[in-house]
Amino acid sequence: MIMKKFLPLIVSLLLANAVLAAPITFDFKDPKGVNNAVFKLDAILESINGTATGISGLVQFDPEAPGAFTGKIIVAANSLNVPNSMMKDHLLSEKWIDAAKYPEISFVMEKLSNVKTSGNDTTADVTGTITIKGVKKTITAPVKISYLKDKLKARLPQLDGDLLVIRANFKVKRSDFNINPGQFEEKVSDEIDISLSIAGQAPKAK
Amino acid sequence: MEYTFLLRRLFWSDQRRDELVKRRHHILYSLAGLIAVLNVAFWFFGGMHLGWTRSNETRMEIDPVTTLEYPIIEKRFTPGIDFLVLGMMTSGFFSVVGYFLRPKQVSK
Repeated sequence: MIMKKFLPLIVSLLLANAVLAAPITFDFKDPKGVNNAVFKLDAILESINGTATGISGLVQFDPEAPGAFTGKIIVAANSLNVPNSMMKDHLLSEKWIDAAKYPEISFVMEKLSNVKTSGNDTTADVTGTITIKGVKKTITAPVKISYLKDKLKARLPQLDGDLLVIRANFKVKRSDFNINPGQFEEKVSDEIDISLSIAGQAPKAK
Repeated sequence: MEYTFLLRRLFWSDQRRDELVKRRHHILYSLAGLIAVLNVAFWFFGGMHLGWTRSNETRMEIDPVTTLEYPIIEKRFTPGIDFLVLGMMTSGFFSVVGYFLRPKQVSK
């Protein structure tokens, strides 16, 4: 009898909790143009540093359960930039990145492990699938996630909402992604050091 | 009369030719020197960059809200070591051409 009386209340409380604890979707298409990936190739004869700024993607993050973190980050291949224009043309060409045929470099984040949360910051190891030049590879990399509640207004005054900042560093080998494998390794290192620094926004509905 | 005129003309022609050869030699050497000096000066005042020539420069700034470091790309030509080498090769080319087109030494 008592159970019957309180059942609707319990159900509504559970539902409310589920709604409140639902992950927030953050959009990483940054109107400020801050999101970037820095890549470094340190070969014996030459060191190449470059950046990529054409970043987009969606990430689901639950501040109550930071371990529940999934999403996909896309880097536009033609946004890759190096200081020398001729070198950039080579980089985007068919032999190297082939930006015309493979316009996107993507990283699908599937799960977090070794999650440690302190205040707004969560550090963990993210496992996901990186796709470069059409070749998929599973990698695990350290990541720092900072949840900035109600900070969107500080960046975009016309919007209320939250920000999610992701910093990740990882290494990939160009030979694993069929990027001119085994060629010019004395000048263009096989190992590519990538630093991802991105911020996503989740505007609140008014 | 006609014979002397022809001789004189021939003599003048040789003299003129020698002058032209001397002038050409002088121009080529001067050009080589000028290219070398301008090339070194441009590279030196362009920052003495030892890497490849750059057509753009990237400087990093920090976003105050997210504290993320992000690149600002500016179009700026910075001559590199390849620029210096190419300039010196051009200068060397003019020097070599000048050397081979030098006036002939007349043995006494």
